Amino acid sequence: MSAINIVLITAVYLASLFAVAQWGKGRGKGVVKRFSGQFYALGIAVYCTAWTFYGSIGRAATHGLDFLAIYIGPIITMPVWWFMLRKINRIAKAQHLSSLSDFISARYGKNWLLGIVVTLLVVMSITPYLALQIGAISSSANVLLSDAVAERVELDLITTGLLFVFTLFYGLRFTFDPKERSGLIAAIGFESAFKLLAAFVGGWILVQGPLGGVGRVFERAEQAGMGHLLTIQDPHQWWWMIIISATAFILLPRQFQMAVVSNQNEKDIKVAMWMLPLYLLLMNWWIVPIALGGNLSLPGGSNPDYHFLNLALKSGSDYLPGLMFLGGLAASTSMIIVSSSALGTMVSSNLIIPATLGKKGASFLTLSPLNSRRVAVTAIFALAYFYYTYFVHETALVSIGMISFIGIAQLAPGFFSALFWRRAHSRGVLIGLLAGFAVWLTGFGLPQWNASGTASNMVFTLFEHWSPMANIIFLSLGLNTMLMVGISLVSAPKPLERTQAEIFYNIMNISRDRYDSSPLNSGQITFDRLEKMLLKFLPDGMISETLYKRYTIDRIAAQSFERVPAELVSYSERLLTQVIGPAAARIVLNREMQEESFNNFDIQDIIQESKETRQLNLALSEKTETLERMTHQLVVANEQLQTLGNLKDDFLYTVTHELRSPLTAIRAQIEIIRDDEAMPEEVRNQFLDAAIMECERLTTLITTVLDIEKFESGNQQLSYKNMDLRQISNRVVESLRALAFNEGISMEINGPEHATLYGDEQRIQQVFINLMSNALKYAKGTVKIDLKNCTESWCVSIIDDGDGVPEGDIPHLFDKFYQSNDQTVKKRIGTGLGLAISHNIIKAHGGKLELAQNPPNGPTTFAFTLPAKTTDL
Amino acid sequence: MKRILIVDDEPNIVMSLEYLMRSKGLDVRIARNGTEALDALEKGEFELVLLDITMPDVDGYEICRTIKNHPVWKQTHVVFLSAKSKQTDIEKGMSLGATDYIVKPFSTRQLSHRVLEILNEA
Repeated sequence: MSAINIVLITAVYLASLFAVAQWGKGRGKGVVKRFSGQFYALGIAVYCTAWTFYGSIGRAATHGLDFLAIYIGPIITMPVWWFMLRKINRIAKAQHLSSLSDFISARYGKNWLLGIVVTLLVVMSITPYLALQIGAISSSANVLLSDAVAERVELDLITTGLLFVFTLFYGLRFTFDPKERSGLIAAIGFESAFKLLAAFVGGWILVQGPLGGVGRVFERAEQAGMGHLLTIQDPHQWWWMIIISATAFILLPRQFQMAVVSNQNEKDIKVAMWMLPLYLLLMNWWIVPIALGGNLSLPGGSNPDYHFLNLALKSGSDYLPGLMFLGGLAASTSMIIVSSSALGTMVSSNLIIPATLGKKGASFLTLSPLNSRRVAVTAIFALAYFYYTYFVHETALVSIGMISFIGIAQLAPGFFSALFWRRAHSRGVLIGLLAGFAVWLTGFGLPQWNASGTASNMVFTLFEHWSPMANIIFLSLGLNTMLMVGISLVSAPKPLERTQAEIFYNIMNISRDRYDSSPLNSGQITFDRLEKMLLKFLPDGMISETLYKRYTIDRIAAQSFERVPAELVSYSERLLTQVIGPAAARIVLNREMQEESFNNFDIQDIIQESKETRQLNLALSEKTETLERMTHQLVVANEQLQTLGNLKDDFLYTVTHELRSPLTAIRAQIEIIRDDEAMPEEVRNQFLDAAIMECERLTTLITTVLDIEKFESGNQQLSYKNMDLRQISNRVVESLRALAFNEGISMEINGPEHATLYGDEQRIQQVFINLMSNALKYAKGTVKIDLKNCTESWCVSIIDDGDGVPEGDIPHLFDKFYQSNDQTVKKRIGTGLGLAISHNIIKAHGGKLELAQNPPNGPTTFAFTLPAKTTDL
Repeated sequence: MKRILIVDDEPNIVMSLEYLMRSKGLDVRIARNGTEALDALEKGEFELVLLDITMPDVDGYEICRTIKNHPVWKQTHVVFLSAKSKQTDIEKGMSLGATDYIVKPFSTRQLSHRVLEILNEA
């Protein structure tokens, strides 16, 4: 590829980056907002730099699977981030914190010194890393160049220059202007999508095409003696790298910028939870085969970092090298933009603004915050480019990256204590940080600044069998943490730091509507002075939009010399914080206050208040829930009662109905006898006999109703004793013989001579009579009783050869007063309670009565079982 | 002689009513369920039907409806004799076009008085 072409595609790519950013600021704002979760996840994917795009392949080509730790760390800790990121985001939003150093400094009493140390550490860790990205752009371009050195254009300088311009345009107002933020988010999302596309599609084409598939590559690698590249080379270091990369995933300035400062919605974190692991997985999908394939098919001595590009060139494709180059460019540029913007903010807030504030009394700084950021970003770019020009040569990308990570990891003890340990003290954090910082610098022999990146000149070796890097990680972080904890435990915080510690720790318990209303100080300042100060510091957009609404309400009512209410002072401080950082904001405000009387109100009050409100709400919602539950129970109970009542009503109505029929007959007969004196003797006798019969029917009905009532209410009393089912059967058959004879029906009993069990003989006999009467009513020629010894119970069947129970009657067989409609031939007899009471009796004995068979499936068979237990008592 | 039909599934009630109505000089026919009642109605015209409601096959309401919808039978007086004593049951019977609804058990004197009254008015 010719230099001109490379410059051309680079220019086209960067132009589209500007276009996307411009689009995101304007017309695309809605899209960015609608897909905020996806853009958020893609923003955090700025994690994948040229180090991933090129460096991982270089690492995999020389050190096997060690590189995976960098991605496994973030992936396995992803679930923790849901909770952690939410908390960090709430704090950052509540306090208007816009960088990592702001965050740490704010927590530890808006400590200026801590902010400076954090900023220096971050700049020292990240600048070489930035330089490496520039280096990656330049080296990758050189790999593509067909006729090398001669045409070595200053692509690096041009690109860096353009990125500098881009950052000046889109990265500076980022922290306080939502519109600008939207532009940057769109641009970074575009870059992340592009680099993933290039890495995945490019990898796919190369591996499946020229390399002949994954299996083939692995096979050839085994044969070529590269089997060790499919294993983890240094497990100790590997585990440490997992831990370090998991922390770096949030603590790297660019990560904090994308995951916290640019977060617009807590819900977006959820989207990132699944999108990011997927992204990292796809990004790394082809790395091992590409690394091995490069080792196998490229000439020895070619830089393994550029296997991807070299393979693409070797494939002869016209577009693939260009695509790969742009993918790497996307990875580098997104990192450079976000990191320099984040570093610029930090340097401006912690180094430049405080320095230009001047001595006490000379209240106003000479540089506006925006200009101060411009200076900072310029400095960062200059430093990075300087470092690149003088130190970066052909250094393995991944080692420099890792050393950066370890530097950044020094922030972890202070950072995580900010979230979870109220007692952590600024002094402890500061000293721990300095110690870890020192170990890191010495341990790597000031590696970043000699760029050897090899950690060869080891000073610290605690564990012989660990790699030098693992030793340094352990020692620096261990010392850092120990000092932080130890010193914190013996130090007493100042009121402001204590207040901040409480807010950070309790943020999830502070209701959001208190973020802005909680006064953090109650100094004294007039409207006049506050107004002047804000006009000086805040960029135009912020004054007109955010502040104006709030400020004017109080302003209109007040005179310019009146004192500003504490709430508004606090709000102003937060706005200032957003622009110049927490420490500087406090200093500026302090100077403007007429009296330096910081009446630190008790933060505990707010937390307590919030807690109480929450508890009240909780208690209230619990009460409501209980009430709802009880109401529901009442409704259900009422329904049940109504149903029961309806059943009872129905029952009573049916009973009275059944009582009325015999009574009607009796009354009619007696009245006729009374009124008709001429009645013949035989008719009178017939009437009297009939009346007596109806009286008996009444008696039976009443007894049965009472019986059934007892069974249903559970008040039945069974007089248990040992009895013989065979004897009962005999007796019943004997008592029904006359009736059966009249109907022309024969009866038989099958079964053993004795069938003893423990039960209520009278009741069981009643069941037999009921079932036998029914059977006789419907039988055509025979009725049988079968007694059978089933295991542990007696099975009794009453079988007749009638037409069976009509289908429609089956569901109601055991209902009270249910009488079959199919009684046209023979007049219905009985109360309609026989089967119901029989059912209840058997049930009370622990058995079951059912219609076992019905034509056409077999002869009509009512069957019941009774437990065959007996007792000698 | 005026013809009346007695419809009831209780044998002893039928027996009593038959005797009572005959002794009042009426021509009495018997039906022991709904089907028999419809058969009897087919065979000859009646001036009055004493009609039970609760019967195994076709209930009294249904028979009353049939009578009142029939071009010829609709002149026939229907007097319900039923153990169903709820106001709704009575209203339902009357709404079907019955001349009267007498709840069981009843006084035979009042019943025969009422039956004759209806027949004489006609």
